Amino acid sequence: MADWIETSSGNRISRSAHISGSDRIVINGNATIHPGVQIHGDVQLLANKSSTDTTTATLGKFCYLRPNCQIIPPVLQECSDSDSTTYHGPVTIGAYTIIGSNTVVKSANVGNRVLIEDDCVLENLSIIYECCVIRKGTVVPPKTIIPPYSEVSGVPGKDFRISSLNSCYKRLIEIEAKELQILGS
Amino acid sequence: MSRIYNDSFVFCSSADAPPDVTAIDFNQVYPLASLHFCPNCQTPKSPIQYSYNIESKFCSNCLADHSVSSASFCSKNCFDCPSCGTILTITISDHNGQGKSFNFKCPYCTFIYKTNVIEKPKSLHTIIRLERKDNPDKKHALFRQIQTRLAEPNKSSKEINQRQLENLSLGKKETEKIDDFDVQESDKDISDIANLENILSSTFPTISSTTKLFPKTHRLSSKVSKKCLACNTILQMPALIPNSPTVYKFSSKFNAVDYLPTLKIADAPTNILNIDEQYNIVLNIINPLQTKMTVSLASPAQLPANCVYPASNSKFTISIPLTKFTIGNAVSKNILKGIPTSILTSNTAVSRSEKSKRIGESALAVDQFDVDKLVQKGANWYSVPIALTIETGSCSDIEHEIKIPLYIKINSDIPDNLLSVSRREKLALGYWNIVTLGKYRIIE
Repeated sequence: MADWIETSSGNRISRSAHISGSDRIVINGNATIHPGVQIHGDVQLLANKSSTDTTTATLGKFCYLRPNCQIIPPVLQECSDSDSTTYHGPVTIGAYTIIGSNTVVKSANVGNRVLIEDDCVLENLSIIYECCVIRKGTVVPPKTIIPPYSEVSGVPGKDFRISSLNSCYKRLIEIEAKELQILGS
Repeated sequence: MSRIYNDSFVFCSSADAPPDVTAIDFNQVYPLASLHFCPNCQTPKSPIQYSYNIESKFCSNCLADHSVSSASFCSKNCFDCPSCGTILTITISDHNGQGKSFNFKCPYCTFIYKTNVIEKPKSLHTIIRLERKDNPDKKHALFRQIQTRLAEPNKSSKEINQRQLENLSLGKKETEKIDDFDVQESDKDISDIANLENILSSTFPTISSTTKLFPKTHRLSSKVSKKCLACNTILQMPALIPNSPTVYKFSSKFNAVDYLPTLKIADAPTNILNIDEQYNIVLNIINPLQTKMTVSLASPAQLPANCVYPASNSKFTISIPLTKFTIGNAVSKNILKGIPTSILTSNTAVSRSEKSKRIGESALAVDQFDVDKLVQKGANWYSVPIALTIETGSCSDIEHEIKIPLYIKINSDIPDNLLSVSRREKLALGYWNIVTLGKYRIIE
């Protein structure tokens, strides 16, 4: 039996990936999900009266998830003495976004054309706008907003740094995501 | 084949004529992705070769537009943690109608700050500023003292001079502590980091964790325009969209990746190089233009001393069988056709089948020996072998970093998007491209 499931929309999903609540996850096509990737789609969403949408995680087209990365919908309400349920919000990963090995994403939103390198932690409810590069080992603190065209590196309290990124990265990250989808690594 | 993680660097010099290979300063080489391209000068521009101008400013936290103000910090209720820089969460406590206090809490570290009870409405910035004034740390107290003395009116010039002298002496007192700490004369062992921290804490007792920290104002983000320092041509201009600070689009941009070919090494030898053995390295050259591009490659016959670090007594020779060729225009729709064969993998069915197809085609196409047998070419790329040989030398256990300098001359019709801004009719330029091969041990 092949190690990969290939769908008609061009998605390539490893059989060893741990995708829970797959009926509540939307993958928009041409995405690659490597072995060991965890997508936690089976979480309890905080009730929203205005919306009946139960989607917990959305992946844009040409998303590339490297081995052992985790996508966890952001926690909106922790469990308490009266209620043992933890409530989450939906997570959206934009198109042409690459997520590195062993990276943990708890963000509310990751924009289009974002490159996240290996061993990063995007803490709860952080927002990454379009065309950003998160360097290896970076910890993005909770509720932090990363503006577009930013390069982020380091750990808060130690060497955390946000600097501007050249405008050509919009095209470069898009080509990178497309080539990774073709080449596989 | 990554264009982001690339071992190819462009040498950017402000001199008109290209320098000799031995004069290349490796502090002035930049990845292609970090460079702009000036359509008038027709040269790649490094960050020190263009000027910046802030076109708009906004707070990335509250998204308020601050373009009209001269401030560099958000004037709304956005504060950063002084310890780790995380955005602080702010809550309000009511004191039985007597007033309110504000609580700042860092969601990442343990920083907590609580203001005094506020009876009259004030902005959070004013509250923090007043509390900092009342409880200054040592540095702020010193500056406040100097500021107060300098601001005193109706003093004669003699008195002011006296004040200035006193201020200087105040500053001197503070620096004396630093002067007293003479590392060379100290008999304390500073080799151990833990020991060094103890020495520093005993020498500078005022710098301690007990100093009261206040929330920091949040720095603004900006959209910048860039202009060439040589000819003032706009290299990048953001399109300013009202009420959409986080939408970052450009009305014009000239990036080097859109005009200069991308160079990528493949089949480089692994960690060890044998003396008297020839290594064939594949150099992939990819044309980003929508027009054909003629490329001329030149390299020194022997690697100059500055390209091997640490220096080695070995003699490295380089030869390139094909030095001038024309590359087809970029294929925007089929990305697979734009990937050189040496980069294709066997990981996916698409890549695998394309690789076998190309290998089969190249085997059938050449039936006699010619230079085409040595090169591979595709829609918008050329793969040229570079022969690297170590002719003489001695073995060493040290790893030497080897860089191959290539002088690249490109000729092409001017791209459509440059027609309106460029004074020239052709795109023609030459520059040094440094390809980092890797680190190697040399053995016999």
